[in-house]
Amino acid sequence: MTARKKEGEAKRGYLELFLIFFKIGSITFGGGYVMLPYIYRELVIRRKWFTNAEIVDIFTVSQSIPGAISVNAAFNTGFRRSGVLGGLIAAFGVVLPAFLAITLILFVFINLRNNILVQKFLSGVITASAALILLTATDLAKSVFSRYFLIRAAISFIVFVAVGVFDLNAMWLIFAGMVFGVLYHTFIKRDLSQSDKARANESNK
Amino acid sequence: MTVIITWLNLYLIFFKIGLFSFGGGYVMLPLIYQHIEIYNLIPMEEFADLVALSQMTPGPIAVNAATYIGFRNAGLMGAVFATFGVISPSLILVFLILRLMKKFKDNPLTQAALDGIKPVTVGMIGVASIYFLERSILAGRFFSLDFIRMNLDFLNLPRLILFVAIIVAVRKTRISPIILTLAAGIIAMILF
Repeated sequence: MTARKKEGEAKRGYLELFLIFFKIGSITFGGGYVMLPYIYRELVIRRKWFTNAEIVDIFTVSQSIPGAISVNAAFNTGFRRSGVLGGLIAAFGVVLPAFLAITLILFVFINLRNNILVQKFLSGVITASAALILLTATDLAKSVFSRYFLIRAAISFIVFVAVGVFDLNAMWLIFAGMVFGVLYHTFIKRDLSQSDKARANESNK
Repeated sequence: MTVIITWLNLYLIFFKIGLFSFGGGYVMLPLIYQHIEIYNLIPMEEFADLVALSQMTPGPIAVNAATYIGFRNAGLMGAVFATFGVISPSLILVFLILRLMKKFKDNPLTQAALDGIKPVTVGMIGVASIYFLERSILAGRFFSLDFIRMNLDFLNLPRLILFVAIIVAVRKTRISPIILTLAAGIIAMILF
């Protein structure tokens, strides 16, 4: 009796997880950081599944590892809530809207691509993309260059030229960046953990 | 049999893209672009369309790109394999971190590696910006430095006006970027 009841509860839990993340995946455009406030509202404020400290931990890990931030966050929350299956279901939920939307558009779009009106529409959308990407780039540059300006700006410029002009494989540059970061903070400036502690203290106040 | 190999190839290519996706969103466009180029996944001129469609549809750009490219290569199952490929590294890494490393985010090595990636992501999003400027307001190659001649032909004037209007709207109003993107498409459809 109790076993069956538990099983029912678990099933409802999975469905709820799926629905929450399906909703989050459907209403957030542009991906990434846009989703985090929604996840916070749904899981911390409305459902109280996680404390503030736990969700900060989830978000930090999601941003520190490769992959789409929303997928990382969905799997992490689902996993903590109801194990591997919960994580998979949450990740599936957050990805499904993107998958369905692109698939549906493609079914229609392939036949319309040579239509002049569609091309004009796309030219406007691409102009908007250019503006949005440039704004994101300047915001990112501002925040990254606010510390260690010279060395970071130099690395960014090297990457810009290497990828933009010489078409060097971006994967190697990311890898080189990781290695450089580790070497730099091991041998030249050992301030990282210190400054992070300081920042953590500040945010705790 | 060849179909299964295509599926597995798509899975592996996007697994690799997912594994190196640091910084999310637009930062990864050069990486995706290069993989399309290397593996000949879709015609190169479709890349801008792919990003444009990603912007109008919900979800992470990496997932949108995987679905698009997978579908264009091998239909629905191709889309499934590519999408699953791009999210697999996330699932595996989060699982490992939750199981093995309680102190992952405080680990100084992680911090140092992430710190090293930061300026790389700025350079990469810079390249993505240039790519889109070349396909919207610039009528030529940025790196050919034609714009130094101050020739106005180098700029596409109607698009430049639209471009500036969008930048002002993003900075000065609270209209969501998706509405602005759709509005830009409709304006271009009617006026250009």
